[in-house]
Amino acid sequence: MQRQPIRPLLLALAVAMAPLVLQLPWWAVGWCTVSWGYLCFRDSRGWPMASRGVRLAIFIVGMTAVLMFAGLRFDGGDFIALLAVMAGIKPLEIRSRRDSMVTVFLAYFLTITSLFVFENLSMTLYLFVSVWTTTGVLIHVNDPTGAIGRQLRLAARLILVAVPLMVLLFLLFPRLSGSFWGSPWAKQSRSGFSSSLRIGDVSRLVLVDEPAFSVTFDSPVPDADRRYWRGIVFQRFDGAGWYPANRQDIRRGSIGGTDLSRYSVILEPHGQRNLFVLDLPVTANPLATIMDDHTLMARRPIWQRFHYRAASFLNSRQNSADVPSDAYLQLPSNRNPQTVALGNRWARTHAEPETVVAKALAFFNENSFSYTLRPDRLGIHAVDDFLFGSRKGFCEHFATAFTVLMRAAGIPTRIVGGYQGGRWNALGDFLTVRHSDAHVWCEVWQGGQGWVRVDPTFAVAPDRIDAGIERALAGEALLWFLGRSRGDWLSRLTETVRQTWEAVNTRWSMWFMGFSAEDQIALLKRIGISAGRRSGWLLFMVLPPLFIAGVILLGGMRKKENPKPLEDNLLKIYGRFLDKMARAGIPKASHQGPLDYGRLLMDRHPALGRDVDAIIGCYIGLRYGREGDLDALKAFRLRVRRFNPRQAMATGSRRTED
Amino acid sequence: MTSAIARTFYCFVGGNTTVPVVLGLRNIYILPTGYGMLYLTVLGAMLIGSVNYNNNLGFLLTFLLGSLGLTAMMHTYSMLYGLRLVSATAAPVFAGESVEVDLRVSDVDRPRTGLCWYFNPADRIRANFKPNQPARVLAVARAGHRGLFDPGWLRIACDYPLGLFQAWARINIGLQCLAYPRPISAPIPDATAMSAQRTGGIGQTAGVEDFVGLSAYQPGDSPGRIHWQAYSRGRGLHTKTFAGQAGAALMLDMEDIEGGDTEKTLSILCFHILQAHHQRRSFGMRLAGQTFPAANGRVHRDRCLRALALYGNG
Repeated sequence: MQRQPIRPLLLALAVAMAPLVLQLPWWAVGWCTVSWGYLCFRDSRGWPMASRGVRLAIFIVGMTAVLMFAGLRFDGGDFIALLAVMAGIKPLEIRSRRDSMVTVFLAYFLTITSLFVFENLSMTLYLFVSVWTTTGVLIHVNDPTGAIGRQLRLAARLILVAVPLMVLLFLLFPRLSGSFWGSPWAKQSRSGFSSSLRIGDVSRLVLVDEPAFSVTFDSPVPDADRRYWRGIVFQRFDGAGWYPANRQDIRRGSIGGTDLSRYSVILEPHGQRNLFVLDLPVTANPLATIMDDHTLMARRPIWQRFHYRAASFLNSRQNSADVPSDAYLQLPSNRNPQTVALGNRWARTHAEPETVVAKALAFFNENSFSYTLRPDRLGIHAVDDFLFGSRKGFCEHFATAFTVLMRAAGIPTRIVGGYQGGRWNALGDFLTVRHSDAHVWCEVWQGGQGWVRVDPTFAVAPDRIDAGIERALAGEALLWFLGRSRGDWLSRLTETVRQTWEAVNTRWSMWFMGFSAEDQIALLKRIGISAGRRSGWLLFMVLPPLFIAGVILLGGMRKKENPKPLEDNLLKIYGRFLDKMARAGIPKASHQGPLDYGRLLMDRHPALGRDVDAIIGCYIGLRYGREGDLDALKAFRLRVRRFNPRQAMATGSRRTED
Repeated sequence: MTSAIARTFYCFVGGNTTVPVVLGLRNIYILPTGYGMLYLTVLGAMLIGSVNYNNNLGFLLTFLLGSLGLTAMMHTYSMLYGLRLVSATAAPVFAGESVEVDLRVSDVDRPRTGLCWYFNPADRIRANFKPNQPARVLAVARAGHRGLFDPGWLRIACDYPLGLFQAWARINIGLQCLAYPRPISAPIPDATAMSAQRTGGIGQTAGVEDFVGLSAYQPGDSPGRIHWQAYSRGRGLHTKTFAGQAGAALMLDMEDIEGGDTEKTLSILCFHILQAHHQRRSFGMRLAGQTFPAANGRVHRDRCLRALALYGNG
C-alpha cells in the first residue's frame, strides 16, 4: 500500500482549524497538538504506528472528555470540540487513500464550522485560503508523487475557474425568506444588555470596547442628542436591580410624529431578543415585533449578526389616553426612606408633574453630583446613599435615583436601557455604536403627552449627550481606549486604520451577510426576471450546465488562439521569406517543396545561393528535425529578416555584367 | 445485471473504439466515484446547515465547493479528451506470463496526469505524459492459455485531480496476442540419433564446436555468428560456421515424446527449441502434419514456436 502524505494532511487540518483555536477548550488544542506533533515526526524518527487497541483507547478517552466537557447540554461549542477531537484522532489511523480522503473532507467540514462561528470579512477571505490549501492537499492525496507546489497552483486555478459559478449560485440560489433559526454555534458570553439591570451593570458594559451595532441612514443623520437607541424598558425595581414588566403586549395602534428617520442596522450578536431602534419606532423588520413599550423584539435570541431595517419618528406623538398601571409607581417597601420622603414632600408642594421633574433635575444639577465610572460602594439603601451620601455615579445611578424620586412623588416613571450617540464613520458612511455608548435614561408619564423622555444624566454631565462619553469622562484614565481621539500621531493612525477596517468590514457585512431572499428577488427584478419560487429552482438547475458549456467554450477559444506556438511562428517566418521571393519575381509554385524551390532559386540566381541555402536548411531543420528549439527559431527569423533578394540579385547581376 | 446494462449502454452510445482512435465526446465516459458521492453528501449537509442558520458564508463555501467539484469534473474529463492512440503492438509471450501491450500515444498537447491503463483492474499502469513528447505506455494483460488470445478491452481511466470523478474510455486495441506454450523441462529420447537414423545421415550439419569456415550470410543467422571483422573491412556479411559434435541437426518430433498430454508435449518441445536456440544448434521440428527443416536463427525459432502456439487451432 502506498504511503499516505501525512504532513500535507496535517497542514490542511491545521489551516482549517486555526480560526477555531480560541473557541476550543484548552485540552482539545493540546490534544490535537500532541497527536499531530507525534505524527509529524513519526516517519522520520521511526516511531511506531498506533495499534488498533491504542487507537480505540484514545478514541474512548477523547469522546469521554468531550462528553464530560459538554455535560447534558450539547451546543455548538461542544460540537466544535468534538470535531477537534476527531481531527486529532483521524490522522493516527491513516493507512489507505480512503483514510486520507476522509481526512480531507473532515478539513472541509472544519472550515464550514468556523464560518458558523465567525461572520466577518476576514473570515470570508480566510475561507478561500482554507479551501485552497485543502484542495491542494486533496490533489496531493490523489497524486502523491507530484510536486506539491504545482498541485497548489492547480488548486488555485481550479478555484479561480469555480468562482464565477459560485457568485452566480450565491446570488440566484433560491433562499428561504425569514428562516431565522437561532444558531447554537457560539453561545459563549456576549457583551450587551441583559434582561435585568443591576446598579453597576452599565458602568461595566461601558468598559467593553467593541461595536454593538452599525447603522446606515437613508434619511439625514440625526444629531447626537437625538440618537437615543432604545433597547429595553425596565419596570420593576427590587432595591438593587431593575426588571422588565412581566407581561409584554404587542403595541396596538400607531404613533404619529415628524422627522421620520429611516435606517438599517447590523446588530452584533448579543444573545438577547431585544433590538435597538431610535426613539420611537414606527415600522420594523417583519422578523421582529414592536412591543407596547415601543421596544423591538426579535422572535429568537440573536446569536448571529442580524440585519434589520426600521423607521422611527424622532419627534413623536403617542396615544396618551390609557393611563399606565400602578406597576409604574411600584417601589420596594422599607428601602430608601429618605428618598421616598423627599419625593412625597415634592408631591405635596407641587401639583404639576412638570414642576416635580424640573425640581428633581435641579436637585441633581445644584448639589455637586459628579459623573464617574468609579462610584463609591452603596449600602442596602442604595438610592439614599447615592443621593445624600457619595453623590458620585454613572448614568444608571442617576436614572435609578430619578425614577425612585418620581415614583415616590406619584408620577409613573420607567427606565429605558440602550445606547446613546455613536461615532460617525465618514469613510463608510455609517454610524458605529459601541458598548461604551451604553446608556440608561428615564421616561415619565405626563397626561396629554404620554411617556416623555427625561435624561437625568444630562442635568449632571451635558457633555455625555452632546459630545459623547469620551469628553464626559476625559479625566478618567480608566477608559484608556476612549482617550484615543485626542492622542499623538500613533493613536491617530491606529484610529484611522481601525475606522477603515470597520468601514470595510461593515460595508461588507451589510452587502454580503445581509443578502437575503428579499434582496434576491429585487436583484432578479432588476435584471428582468420576475421570479416566483419555482423559476428560482429552474434557474438553479440551468446554471451548472451553462457553466460547464461556458468553460468548454472558453477553453476551446483559448486553444484556437495559441495552438502550437513554435510551429506557427516557423510557418509565419517561412511565409515571410516566400513573400520576399515572390516580390522579387520568383514565387514558389505550390507543387515545389522547399528543397526543389531552393535548387530552382540557386539555378536562376547563383548570387542568392548562400542565403537561400542557409534559410532553407534552417527551415527544414526546424520543421522536420527532432526537437525545435527557440534559439534556432530566433536565428532563422533574423536570417529571414536580413535577407534581401532584390539587392542580392542586383549585386549579383552587376557582378556578372562586370 | 450490471454488466448487461453496461453492454447495452456501450452499444447504444457507439463511437469509435478501435485503435487508432481519438478520445472524444463519444467514447469518454465519466461518473462520480465513491468519494465523489461522499463529497456530495458532505456538500448536502453543508447546504442544509447554511439554509438552517441562514448563514451566507456557509452558502458561499457550499457553492464554492460545488463549483469546485464541477470544475474538477471537467478537468478530469480533459485529461482524456483529445488523446490520440496511434498503435498497439505486443510481442509474443509464454502462456501464464503477462503480456506488455505497447501503446503509442500522440498529440499530447498539455500535461496529462494520472492516467491508468489496464485490461483488468488489478494490473493498472499509471502514466503521466508531458506535453510535446512522444508518449508510450506498456499496459499489462495476462496471457492465459497457449494460442492466440484477445487481451480484452483496454481501459484508460483517470480520476485526477480531486478523485471525485472517474473518467474512462474503453478501447478495443484490435490486437491478437500470441502465447507460446509454457516451456517445461523434460528429457527427450536421444533426438539427434533418432533424427540421424530417420533422415538418413547428412554429411555435415552446422554445430557449435569446431570452426569450419565462413559461409555467406543468410537471413536468420544468429548475429553472434556474423563475422563482424570481415564486415568492417567491407567484405560483406559472412557467417562463421562450426561443426557440431555429433555433426547432426537436432530433430524434434512430437511423436517421440511420450506422455499423451498434447499441451505437455508442446511445452516440452518448446523447452527444447529454446534450449537448442540458446546453444546455437540447428534444429528441425516435426509436428503432426507439419515439418520444419533443420535451421537456426531467431526467425526459425519464432516460426517453430508460433507453430507450437497455434497447434491444433488450424
